[in-house]
Amino acid sequence: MTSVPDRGGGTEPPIGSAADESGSEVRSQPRPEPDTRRQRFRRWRGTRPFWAGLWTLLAGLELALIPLSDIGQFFSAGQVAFTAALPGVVLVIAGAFMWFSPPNRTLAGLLAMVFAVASLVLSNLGGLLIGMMLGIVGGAMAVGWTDAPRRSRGRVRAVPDEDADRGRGAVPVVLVLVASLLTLPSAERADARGHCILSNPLAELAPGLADLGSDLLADGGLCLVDLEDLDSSVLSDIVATLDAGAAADLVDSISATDLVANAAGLDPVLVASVLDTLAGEISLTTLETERPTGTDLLDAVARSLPTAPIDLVSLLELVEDTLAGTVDASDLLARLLDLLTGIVDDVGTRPSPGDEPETPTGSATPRAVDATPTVSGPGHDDGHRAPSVLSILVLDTLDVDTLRYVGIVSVPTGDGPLDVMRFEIDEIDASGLDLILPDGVAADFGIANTPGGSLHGDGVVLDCTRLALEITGAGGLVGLPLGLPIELTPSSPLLDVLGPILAVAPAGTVLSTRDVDIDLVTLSVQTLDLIGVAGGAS
Amino acid sequence: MTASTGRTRWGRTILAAGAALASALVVSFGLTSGVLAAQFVPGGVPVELTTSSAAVDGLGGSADTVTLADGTQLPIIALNGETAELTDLCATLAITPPIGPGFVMVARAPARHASDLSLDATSFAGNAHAENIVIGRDASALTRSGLVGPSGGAGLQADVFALTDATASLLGVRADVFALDGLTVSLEEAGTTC
Repeated sequence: MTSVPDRGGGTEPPIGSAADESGSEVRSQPRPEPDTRRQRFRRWRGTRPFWAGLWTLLAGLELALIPLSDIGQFFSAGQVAFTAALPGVVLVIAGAFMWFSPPNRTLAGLLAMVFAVASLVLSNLGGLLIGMMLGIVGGAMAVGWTDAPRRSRGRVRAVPDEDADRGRGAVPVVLVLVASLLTLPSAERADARGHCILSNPLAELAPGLADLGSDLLADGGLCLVDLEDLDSSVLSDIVATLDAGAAADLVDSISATDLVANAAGLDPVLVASVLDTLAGEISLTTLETERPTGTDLLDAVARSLPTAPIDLVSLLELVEDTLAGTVDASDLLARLLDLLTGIVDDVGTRPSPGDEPETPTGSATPRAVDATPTVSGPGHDDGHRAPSVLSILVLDTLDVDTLRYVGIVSVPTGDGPLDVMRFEIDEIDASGLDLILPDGVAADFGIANTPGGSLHGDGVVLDCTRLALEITGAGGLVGLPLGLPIELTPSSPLLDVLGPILAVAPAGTVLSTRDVDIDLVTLSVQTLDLIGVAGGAS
Repeated sequence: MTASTGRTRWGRTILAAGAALASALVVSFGLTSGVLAAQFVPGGVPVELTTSSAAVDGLGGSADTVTLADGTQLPIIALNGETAELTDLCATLAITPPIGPGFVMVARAPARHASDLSLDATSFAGNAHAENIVIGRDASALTRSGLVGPSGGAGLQADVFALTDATASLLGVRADVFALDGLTVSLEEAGTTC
């Protein structure tokens, strides 16, 4: 009989019995008395990687409890908190497998180590390193644990194949961990670059492109690190390599997102008007719902490409010129138009954007004022939707330079249209800011000037449903009540009186006010400076 | 199934642990060199952060509420920046272990670059400069940054937002890419501040 002494990991033979290779024989021996609970536990502990499972469980609990310690915060943080808790949860499961399914210990140990290392990135620096270290130790001990009897000289031939196999078992550990390492930064790199404009098919179409350099190749596909890496000779090579059939495939493989994102000087507004004109031909899903960005616009163009008879060579030349900086916005637009006229023949018969109703940031009701309201302004773009719950804006003092009352405007909200008073102001100076932002659920977040703080803004558009203030200086405007608290709402008769006065206020007129209290719908400011500001629970 | 007493083969254990630790070292290098982004979800324990300047390109923000373990509802402002440049950054996290004295983890970095940076702030202070800022836009319909706030809630967004001499108390810090150039981390006695 060969005894199996405990050599670490806390695994010990059952006390009081001659540990045999066969547990059944052990159990068949007569016992002087039934096993005590302690003995039963020791036997249970000895037949599985107990300590490995314990460290792994503790690692998992430590990793998971940090992000999960506040369940409300966890759910509010959503996917990010989930990924932070994931390593911990996996480690707990792996630890449970080590205890209750010892034959799966190697896989459980590998998973424990992989997720422990991943937790360094995903979960609070590996649970402040503690959870990660515990997980690595536990996982490694699980991989190292064996229930095979110790090899002795006399029995060396009895288990050689098994031991050899298990020796090789360490190789996958290294491979898996190295692979996980390589995968993580690779994913991050791809995300950070996001500049892969040409995919695999092109590599087959234009084998000469491999000469572009190994840095352009990533993840098995041809990936341009940056569009700026293309010089004119490379572009020429691309064009020269393509035949008619290949060109069509190339068009399919172009991601316009990157094309546009890198096209310096592209003016989204200008292109938007062109694309609006062509909207009948091009699917502009994004443009219908969101303010177009350069990326959106190029996407829209790209979606039209595969089916459109576009001049590929001209397009590539245009990209090249854009990158080289030899084309300005107007020239770019003109050339883009030339390209697009290949798609649309009847641009002239289509209604121009000016004939279409203005996309609503709100339609104005020129009540009390005879001015046609301008609805443009920072933030008042297509797709603007005002909040359903109003913010409260309080100012101790407010000086406005050239305030114009635009009119009553209907702005869209999640609960339907809302009538607001719109003011445009060239310049504001204020003190004693206190802005309360509601989340529409429970609590409010406040942003306020600290003592001595101030606010300065240029190019202001103010939408509000209530404006209460006291005018202390009218800057020469006649008919404004000075020194009296006034309150304006869209339905207030006072607005009918003051509106016309404010609507025609000459440029440079400065109004001084104090004790300003505004039910704020939207405030957009082109340039805003806040000196001394603090935010917190209000 | 026959249950037999097992043991730990330390050679194999050390080999496996060595591989994992080597991997962790490579990941650590990636973190400190900015290749990898670290993700912090403290869960109720605020990170105190100071920075001499924070320049954000493409900011979205909205008021939100978190519920702490004791049921307290805490208003926060959730901010998301498409890209952010931070200088002279210092962050402290107070840690109270179940046993033993509490301590503070202090992380300092001279300059950091982050993309898709998300902060859940319970409070902040400093001087602010913003360009094309809109205060009062449905928090679920912001077009700058990837932030999606509560539907109907008051959101804000700006093309450019810069804070100087800023301090903030954060319940969560996340980023797609967080270049922790020159990061130093130290454990110091409780009460240490930046």
